[in-house]
Amino acid sequence: MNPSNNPSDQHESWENWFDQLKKIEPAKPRPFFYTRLQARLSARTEPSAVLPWWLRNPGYALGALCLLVGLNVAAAVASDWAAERVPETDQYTYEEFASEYQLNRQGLYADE
Amino acid sequence: MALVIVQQEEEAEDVAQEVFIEVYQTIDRFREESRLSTWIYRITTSKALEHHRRRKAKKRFAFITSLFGSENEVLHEPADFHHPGVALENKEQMKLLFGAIAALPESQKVAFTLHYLNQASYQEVAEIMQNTVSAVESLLHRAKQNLRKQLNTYYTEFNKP
Repeated sequence: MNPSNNPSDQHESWENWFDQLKKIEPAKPRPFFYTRLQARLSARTEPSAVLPWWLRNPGYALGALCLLVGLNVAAAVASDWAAERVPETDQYTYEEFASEYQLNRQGLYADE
Repeated sequence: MALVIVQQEEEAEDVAQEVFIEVYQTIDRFREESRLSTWIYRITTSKALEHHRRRKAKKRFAFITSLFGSENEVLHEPADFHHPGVALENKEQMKLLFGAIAALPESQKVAFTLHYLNQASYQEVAEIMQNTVSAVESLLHRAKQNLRKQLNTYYTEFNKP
């Protein structure tokens, strides 16, 4: 850079300073860059070992979810239906009980 | 490019890896509306700026937490950045220039770096930044004004007879 008070000279010398950036050699990656990159890439693309194989497929996962939701809805509907049903009145009368166990008093003393 | 924006070698490598991964995973979405290099430059720029912002936020958070406890240490600014490709005789001048570039606003920094370091034309810078050529010219003009302001003291020192 040359010392000068002339604005155009100053402009040129500033430009020369900035232009030095163009002479910089591009930075090179550190050794084993591609090995590290490959490890990172495979870590991202490898499927999770926590989930079973059939859940890693979105179709299967969605199917399982639908089944789960369907079962829950069915269970809720069934419990509502059961609650709405009027409990049957106990028709089991004394006579029926007696006849079932053959406790007919008259029968016991039939010979008398 | 990423190295000048983040000004740390390890972080620049991290950015480079993320760019490779992004390109690998999204190459099918590349619509060939622009050149491949433009698309890659765009990814690199956004990843580098993202890293830089994250580091700044982390530094701010560490500073705030350090005010409330003794265990959290303030993250220190890395030592002066030296680009590995700079010739030895220019090292001091370039260190100052990189320091001044780091202080520029993001868009000015990107435009200046693309034009001077990567030698991209105004048109290419405009395509990468998804901006107009006149906007890029304005960004570069303001970037140079800011750099001049910051480096004026050193400029007169370097130009002493």
